[in-house]
Amino acid sequence: MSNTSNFDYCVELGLAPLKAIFHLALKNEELFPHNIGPLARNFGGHAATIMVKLLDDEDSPADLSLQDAHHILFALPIEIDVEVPDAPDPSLSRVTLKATVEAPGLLATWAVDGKDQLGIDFTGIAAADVNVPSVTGLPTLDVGRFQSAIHTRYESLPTHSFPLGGNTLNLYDGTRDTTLIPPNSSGNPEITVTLENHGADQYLKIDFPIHADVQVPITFASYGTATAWRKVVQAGGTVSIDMAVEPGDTALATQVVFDSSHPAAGPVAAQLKPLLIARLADFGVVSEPWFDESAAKSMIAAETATYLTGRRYPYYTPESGDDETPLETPVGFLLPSDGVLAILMNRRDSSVADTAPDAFLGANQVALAVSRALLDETITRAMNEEFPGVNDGGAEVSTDEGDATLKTLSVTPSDPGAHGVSEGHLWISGEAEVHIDCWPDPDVSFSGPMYLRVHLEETDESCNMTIGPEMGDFDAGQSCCDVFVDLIIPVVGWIMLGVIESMIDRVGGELAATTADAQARNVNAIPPVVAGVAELQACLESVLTSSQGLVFPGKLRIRREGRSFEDLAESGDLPRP
Amino acid sequence: MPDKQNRTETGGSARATAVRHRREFEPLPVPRANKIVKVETHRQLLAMARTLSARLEEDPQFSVMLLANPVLALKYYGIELNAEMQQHVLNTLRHPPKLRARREKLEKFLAKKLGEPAKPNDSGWMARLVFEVRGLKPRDLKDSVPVYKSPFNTGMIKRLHELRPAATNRYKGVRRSAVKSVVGVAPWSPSVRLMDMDATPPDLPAAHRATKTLTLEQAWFYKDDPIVKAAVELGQIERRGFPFQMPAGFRDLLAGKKVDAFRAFVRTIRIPGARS
Repeated sequence: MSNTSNFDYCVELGLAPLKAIFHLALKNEELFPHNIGPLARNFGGHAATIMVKLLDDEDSPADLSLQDAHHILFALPIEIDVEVPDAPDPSLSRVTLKATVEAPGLLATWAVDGKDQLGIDFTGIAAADVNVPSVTGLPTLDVGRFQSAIHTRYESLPTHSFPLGGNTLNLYDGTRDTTLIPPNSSGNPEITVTLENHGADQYLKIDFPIHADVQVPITFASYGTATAWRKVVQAGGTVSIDMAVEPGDTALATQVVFDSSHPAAGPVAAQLKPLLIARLADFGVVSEPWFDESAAKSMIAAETATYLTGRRYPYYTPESGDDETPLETPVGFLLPSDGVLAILMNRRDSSVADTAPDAFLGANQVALAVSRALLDETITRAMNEEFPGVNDGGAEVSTDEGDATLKTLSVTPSDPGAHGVSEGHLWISGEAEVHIDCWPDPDVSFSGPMYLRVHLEETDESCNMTIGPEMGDFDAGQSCCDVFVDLIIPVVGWIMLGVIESMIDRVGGELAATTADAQARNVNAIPPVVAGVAELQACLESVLTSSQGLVFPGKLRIRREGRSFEDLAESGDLPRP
Repeated sequence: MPDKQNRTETGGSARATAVRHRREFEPLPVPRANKIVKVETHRQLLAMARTLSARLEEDPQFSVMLLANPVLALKYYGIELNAEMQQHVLNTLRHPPKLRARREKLEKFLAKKLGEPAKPNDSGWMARLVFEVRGLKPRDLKDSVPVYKSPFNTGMIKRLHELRPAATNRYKGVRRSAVKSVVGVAPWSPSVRLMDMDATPPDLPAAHRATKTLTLEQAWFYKDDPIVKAAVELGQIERRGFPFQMPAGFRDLLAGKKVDAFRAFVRTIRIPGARS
């Protein structure tokens, strides 16, 4: 149980700020370009180009959740346009697939210009790391799509009239070939297709309008219909039909039926069937780029990984302002059950492994914690400086109201409930020898709570937090106690000031200049910028005392920094194909 | 995670903590019955320290009542002072010698000038002194406050200031947010003890009529009159003294019905030096 683990300081950010910074990072065109491509790809032998779009708008919002101590799981709306210029089916020449992918980002630190940043790094992400729960925009495998493909392929054949030993077989497809003699039969029937399931397989049934002109060994001429079944195969991002492969199932063997009832019709059909099958083979493999759900998810996962790998965005970019005194590297932990990013700074004990701190953020947007150990050290140092000799023989305290030797003095941060005090407090205890004329000096032992009261004034332009130490359990204005109060309260007040300002300094915040006796100064409690992404303005609102040390809850104002898509569009600097 | 015990809304844009969870104070156990010791001389008073030391060791919890009223508390420990010793003890403990001497000098001065004992902490008496006896014209004090001395000394400020880090001014870029955030500690609380008797009161406009009461702080604005100044200083010294309780107050403190700083903070008083 520790607010700061083995570190001196901890800054905790809530889920709302994490999301706000993430959305601002997504707006930054330099970090996350919204349009990638065109990229050359190949689907089933078809040259294709794709355009990848990253979305984050009201209709397709990006989001995040905390996955584990070191990963944030991002929900990224991705849209991929696939263009296949030579698609046999024109309707397949452009497919737009859309999915909200889930991709993990690693909480990591990296250096920029020698300054360590903490943020999310997607380096090394692979397609297998990306989950695609669902896809929209998948093409539908319908008969019309195949019909179009067959029409296209028919038109690409050099001839539709096939001679064989003085006999001729014509294949018709509506009016697509007006050179055929005789022309198509009445009504100009087209090649028609239907999809049929036979067992576990899907077949395309194709009806070809034909005409046979037979001179040898008998004279026979008739229009008719040839029917063939070809297996539909979906694999490797394509759907294909090999027109050369007759099904093994005899029920699906190619058939030829003439309109004529001439007794020779059956024998002629049987004779022409091999010719017909050979000519159907000329249609070759009818292949279309195709994305069934599995193939589409694989492609989106792969393209997402390609897009994300190497990208990163910061959450915490502290600067020291002094190259000779760099700040320590921020160490991040995610606390998924509490929705918190904890940023630890100033490792206190390097002999133990870094561990996640407790969540002390509560319902606040930001909170800073000072470790108990550091607080104790600061208090001891201040007490020793203000009361030299205390706890080591005694410090002489001389006032107009009397003299005493302060033998011991301790200030102990304590939990609510400790010492019979219901709120968190500093427990002051000690012993003093009071000097009385002409009498043995009595020893007075004392103890009691001191509370750190906060007065907060907030306007649109300012946020002022004033801490007022207050001795507990008695009414102010008892002048007999002024001496003790005047001694201890300012010391504790200045200790608090020193603790807060040192904390701000070491976590990368900013302190304005001040005069020697000024008891307040302008501050930025945490780094006021997330480099290239956001501008932060933290307002500390309270102080909580416990045996863990001190916690300063507050809130954040977040604004955008850097250039967005809209900025680039306005300046005409959007990336071009 | 500790509760947000320190924060409550007070309305408007300013928020401050509200009080305040007081501890419950139980009645103190009275000391066991002891053989009565009479103290009628300074020698006996000095010798009594050893007896008292032993009895404090036996019943330490009650010892805090010595700060409420030593005469009454000693009686609980079986030590009875005659009137002279009672007065001596109370006077000695109330002020250190320097303040005691100054108080006596001011009391004599004012008694001579006014023909009566001064009662500067009686606000009605102070108003009569200022407006009737001294005939000063009322001044419109409004929200004026006296000048107070700082409880800090230069060395203290320097030492404590060294706890604070220097300015950083790290982030040079232009900030879009114009909000300023300030952190500080509350200024020290002004107290009568620290009213600056050497400071010059400001010129204030005349008030339409005199008030019927004047606190020490209000009377401070009339201290350009030497008699008033002496009275204010006397009142200040009186307020700096040990606030010994009258019997009723003593009983309330003993019962825990009332809590002052000593009852709240002092655990025990011992006299180890008296044992040898």
